[in-house]
Amino acid sequence: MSARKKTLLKVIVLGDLGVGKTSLMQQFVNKKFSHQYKATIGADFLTKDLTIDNKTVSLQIWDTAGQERFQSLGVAFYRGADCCVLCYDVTNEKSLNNLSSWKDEFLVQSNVSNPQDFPFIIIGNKIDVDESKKIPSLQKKLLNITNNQLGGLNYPLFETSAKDSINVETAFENVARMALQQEELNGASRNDMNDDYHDAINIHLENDNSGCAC
Amino acid sequence: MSLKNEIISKVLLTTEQYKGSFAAFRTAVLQNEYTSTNPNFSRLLIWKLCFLTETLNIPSWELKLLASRAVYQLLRSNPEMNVPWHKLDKDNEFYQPNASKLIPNTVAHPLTRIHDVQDDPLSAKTAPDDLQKKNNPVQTDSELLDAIILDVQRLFPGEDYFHNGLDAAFAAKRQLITILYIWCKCNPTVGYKQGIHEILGLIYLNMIKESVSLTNTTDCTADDMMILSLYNLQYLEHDLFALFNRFVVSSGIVAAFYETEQLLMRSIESFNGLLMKVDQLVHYNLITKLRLDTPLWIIRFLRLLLLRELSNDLEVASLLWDKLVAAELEKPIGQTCLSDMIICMIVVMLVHLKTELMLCDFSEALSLLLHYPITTKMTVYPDFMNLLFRDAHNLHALRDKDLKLYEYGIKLNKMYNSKIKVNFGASNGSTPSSPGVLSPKASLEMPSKADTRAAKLKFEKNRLEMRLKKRAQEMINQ
Repeated sequence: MSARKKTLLKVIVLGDLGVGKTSLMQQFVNKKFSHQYKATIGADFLTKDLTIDNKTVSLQIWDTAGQERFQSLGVAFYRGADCCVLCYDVTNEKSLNNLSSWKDEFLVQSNVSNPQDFPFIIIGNKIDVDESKKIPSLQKKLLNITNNQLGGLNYPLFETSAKDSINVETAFENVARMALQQEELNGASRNDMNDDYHDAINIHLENDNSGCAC
Repeated sequence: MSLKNEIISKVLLTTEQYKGSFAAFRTAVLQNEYTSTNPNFSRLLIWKLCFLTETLNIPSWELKLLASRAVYQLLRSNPEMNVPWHKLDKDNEFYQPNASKLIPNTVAHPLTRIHDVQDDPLSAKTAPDDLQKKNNPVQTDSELLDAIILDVQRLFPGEDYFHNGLDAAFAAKRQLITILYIWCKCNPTVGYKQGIHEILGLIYLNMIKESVSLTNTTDCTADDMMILSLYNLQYLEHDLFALFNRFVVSSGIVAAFYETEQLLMRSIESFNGLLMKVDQLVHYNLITKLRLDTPLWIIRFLRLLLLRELSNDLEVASLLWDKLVAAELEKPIGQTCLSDMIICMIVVMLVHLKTELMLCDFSEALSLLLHYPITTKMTVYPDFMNLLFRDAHNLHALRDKDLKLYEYGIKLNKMYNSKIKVNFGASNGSTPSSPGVLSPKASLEMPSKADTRAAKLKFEKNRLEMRLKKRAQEMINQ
C-alpha cells in the first residue's frame, strides 16, 4: 500500500470578501455553481483527488473568510501549505490592490522556508460579467502589480468564471502541479501526520502531554 | 382583524397558563414545554418579553417598549448614523440620492425622549483610535456599507422571504442593512464582522412573521392596544435593533467571539479545557492524536451560535434560540451566559460525534466537523435539539466543578456512546473488536498520562484496526 501512497497537498485560497473563493472551489470540486453561497465564516475545507503526471494527489483546499486576516489564528490555517491561491474580482479594483497584502499576510503567518519562491497563483474571477463593469484598463493595472520590482506579484495568472466554469479546472490543475513541486522540494515529512495508515510507529506519542496541558 | 384577535387571544391565554408569572413562563420555554406544538405559542412573545419587557404584566409593557424604541429613534435621527446610500454606485440597487434632502422616516406618534436608559448603545465607551484601527482596519463609512450590503445580499440563500424579488424583500434587506450600519457605528471597536448579519437575519425572520400593521385600529380597545403594541410592525426595526443588541452584546457573544482575536482565542481555550474535563478521549483523539487545532473548525460554530450547524431548517435553530434567550435571563447580573452556553453545547455535540471521529484521519475529521451530520443525528434522536440544550444547560451549571464535569461526561457517554467501550488507563488484556462486519461495538483503550509507551501503541493499534475495517467495509459496500 505504501508504494501507492497518495500525496496530500494543502492549498490555501485567499482574497477579499465576495470575490468568489467559495464559488471557485465549489466549481472545481463539485462542478456546480450557485448564486446561493453564504458568506464563509471562519474557514471551510474540501478535498479532491487528482492525477498529475501519473501520480495521484489529494488536494486539500482551504476556503477562508474574506474579511478575516486571521492574524494569530492564521498560523493554524496556513501551516504546511504547499500553494497559495490569491483571488480577486475583475470588477472590483480594491480586491486587486489588496492581493499583495494577502500575500504578505500569508508569508508572515505560514512561516514557509522559501518565501522567495513559494508557489503563489493569482486568479481573477467573474470574467463572465459585462465588459463595462470590469476594472478600467485592467491589463495595464495587472502588469503594474505583477511586474513591480519591489515585492511584485510575478506569479502565474488565470482569469476565470466560476459561474460559467471557464478556466477553473486549468487554474486548479496548475495549482496542484505547483503544490506538488513545492511538496517534493520540502520533503514529504510533514504530511505524514495527515495519513495515519503509515505512521503507526512513527506517531509522536512522546509529546502527547502537550496537547492536554490546556 | 382576525390576525389581531388571534394575537390577543394567544397572549392572554399564555399569560393565564403561567398565571402571570414570568419565571414560570421562562421555565416552560427552557424545559421545552412552550414550543410550537403549543397552540398559544408565540416566538415573538418569548424574545420580546425576555429581552425587552422582562415581565408578563401587560400594562407595564408600554413604558418599557417606549424606552427601548426611543433609543433607536434617537440614533436614527443622529446625522452621524445616516446610512450613506448616496455614496453607493449609482447602479447599486440600494442607491439613493443624498438623504439629507429627504425627510427622515417619520413615525405617526412621535416618540418622546426617555432618559436613564440602561442599555443605551450610545453610552458604550469609545475606544482609543489606535485600538479601533487595530481591530477594525478596514472601514470608511462607504466601505462599511459595501461590506454589509455584500453579506445581506447573500443572507439565507434558500429563504424565499429575502430572495423572491418582491418589494417586501428589498425593503427587508434595506432595513437589515440600516440596523447593521447603525449598530456598527455605535460599536466602533467591533465594527462590521461577518456573521452578525446572519444572527440579525434570523431574528428578523422570526419577528416579521408575527408582526402586524396597526394603522387601522379603530375597533381595538385600549387593552387590546397594550398587547398589540408588542407586535407593532411600525416599530419592527426599533425592536429588532434592541433585540439584536441584547442578543449579541449583553449576552457576551460579541465580546467572546467577535471583538478581538485574543478574546476569541481565550474562548477557544476555554472550550478545549471543558472538553478535556468532560471527555478526555475526544480531546485526546482530536488534539493530541490528529493534531487538529480547534480554531480550524470552531469559529463558525461559535460566531453563528450553531445556526449553520443545526440543519438547513431555520426553525430548528430558532427553537434552540428560544431556549438561549430564556437562559440568558438566568445569569447573575454582570455575568455572561450565552457565550458559555454555546461552548457547552459544542462539547456535547462532540460527545455525540465521538464514534465517527475515532474512525477519522485528519481530513475526514475536519470535514465531519465542518459539516456536522445533523440530519443523521436527528434521525437517531428526533429530539436532538432539546437533548443538546438540556445537556449543555446541565454542563453549564457544573462548569466550575471539575469532578462533576467528569462524572457528567461519563453519564453523557452512557447515554449516547454506550456502544464504545473505553477502558481508562488499562494496559493489558484488551480484546480486539470482533472481526467481520464493522460494528460500532469497538473497544478502545484510552492511554492516560501515566501510561507506558506500550499502552499507547496498543491504543494506536486498535484504532488503526478499526479504521482499516471501516475502509474495507466501505470498499465492500461500493
